[in-house]
Amino acid sequence: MASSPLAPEISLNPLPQADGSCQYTCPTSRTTILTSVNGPLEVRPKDELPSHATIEVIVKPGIGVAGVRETRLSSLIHSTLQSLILTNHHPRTLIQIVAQIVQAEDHTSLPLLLTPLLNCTILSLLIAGIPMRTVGWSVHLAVVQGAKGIKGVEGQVFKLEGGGDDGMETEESEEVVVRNPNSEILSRAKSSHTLTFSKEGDILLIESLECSQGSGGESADGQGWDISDFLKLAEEGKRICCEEGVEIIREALADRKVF
Amino acid sequence: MSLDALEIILPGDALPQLSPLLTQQPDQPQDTKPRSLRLGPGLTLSPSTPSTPILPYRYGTLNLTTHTKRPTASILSTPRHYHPSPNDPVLVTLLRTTAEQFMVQLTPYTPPAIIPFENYIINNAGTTASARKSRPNLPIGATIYARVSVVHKHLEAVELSVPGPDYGEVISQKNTSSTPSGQKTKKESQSSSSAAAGGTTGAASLANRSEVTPYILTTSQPMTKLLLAEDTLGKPLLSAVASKVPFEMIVGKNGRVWIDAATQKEVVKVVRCFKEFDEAEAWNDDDGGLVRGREIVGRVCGR
Repeated sequence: MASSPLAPEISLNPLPQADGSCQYTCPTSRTTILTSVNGPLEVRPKDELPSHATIEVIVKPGIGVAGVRETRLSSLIHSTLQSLILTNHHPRTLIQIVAQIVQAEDHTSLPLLLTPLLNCTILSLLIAGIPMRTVGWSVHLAVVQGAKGIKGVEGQVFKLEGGGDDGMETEESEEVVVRNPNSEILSRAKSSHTLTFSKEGDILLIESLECSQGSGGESADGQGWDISDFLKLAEEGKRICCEEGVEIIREALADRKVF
Repeated sequence: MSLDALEIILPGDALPQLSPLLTQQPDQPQDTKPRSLRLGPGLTLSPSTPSTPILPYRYGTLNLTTHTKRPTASILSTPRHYHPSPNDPVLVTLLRTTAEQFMVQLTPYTPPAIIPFENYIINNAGTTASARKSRPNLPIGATIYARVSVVHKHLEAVELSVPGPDYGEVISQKNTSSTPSGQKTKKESQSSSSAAAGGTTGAASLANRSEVTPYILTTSQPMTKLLLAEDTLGKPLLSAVASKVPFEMIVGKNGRVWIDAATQKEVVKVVRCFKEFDEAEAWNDDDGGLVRGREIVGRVCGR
């Protein structure tokens, strides 16, 4: 795990008082997230649901006070977790998730933050023993025109046509997909896709956006990507989430002793 | 690590290990009884999941008991929170007494649990505390050793019971003569072991003190499990402590340990051993905390 340049750094239970916590560092952009999960707790009467647990997600920004961006992030995480957590196991309770952005290249970039936030939250939920239907993993993929000149991305680049090629012999104009891009790569990207899949390969979240400041954004249909490219990319994302992502979770948890 | 053989199970994993227990054995044609499998904590029935009808919902290792008449499967995991399950022995604190029940604190982070008076059995004859005459007059803050009887997610409170004189209010030996409710025998998990220095054992040596206050230690869930498994997991630590200081303890699965010893100094020594062992997370060591446990006991109790 440590040998792979794409494996994130994971530290489980860094917070001694939380039920479950996790610190996660993205291998390329060095985005660091710290999450804590507490629950089931007593719920405020106005949030109480008669037959389900209430999930509360709070995203705390690395800089400044929480605003619209953090609300957006937390609503994305909330909707993803809603389908993972078995909320009917603890009715009339609260499952509280707090995510703190510790370090980020770009504190304003939503796609760079979302994948680490989701992965970190899922690991904390596992540690906290919150009942879950399955586990999920998130991956961030950016479509870039020409991989030349991008440094330090070995093993991170693949072509949409050739499958899992290392992408080192791409033409300048050819489109490649970069996995876990950092802000430099993202600024050159045509489009960015955050995909989350469950262990079984069910899609949990698609958050795609066209990056207008990149060199692209002008494909045939006037959008940043076309659907056939997107489907190939989603297929690759699914493979990464279901195989590598689940493997990372298993390895991280295998170090912990279970009584 | 010794646990390498035990595979970590993630939520939603298929459990092929269970299928022989659910299907009819071909080599036993006379066995026509429907097979039943008890699902313990961590497993739930979920007919809607395509991969497995029995859904693990927590991560952990699969714990299978097949040699008994009713095979049981559960997922072993140690979350930080205590989740009550029936028959767990617990140590609770009395918050208040109402007309029909004792309201007690099971864990600080959950609403109070209840002990209905009809579940509070005070003697071997099965007399309950329902009658005003037989009701023990417990002060607020009293520690009660009880058992979880009913847990249901839709119920407001967890229901506990005191199934007999072995349970009930936990009182130090020194107070026994002065309590009106008579002899409360404590569950003696670990008194001074035969290896203890001095050789005197049990209540006789621990009684006849007036100045000792027992201590209630809050422990983590892994530590609680270690202390409960006194013959296996907890043996290295418990025998190390018992060889230095004779003590009594009562372990509640809700993460509370009642500790009593002959002198206050010894109570503090035992508490410090357990506390330091827990804080160092020595139970996570490969050797089960054998080396670090000895080191802590040596430091706290002297060589």
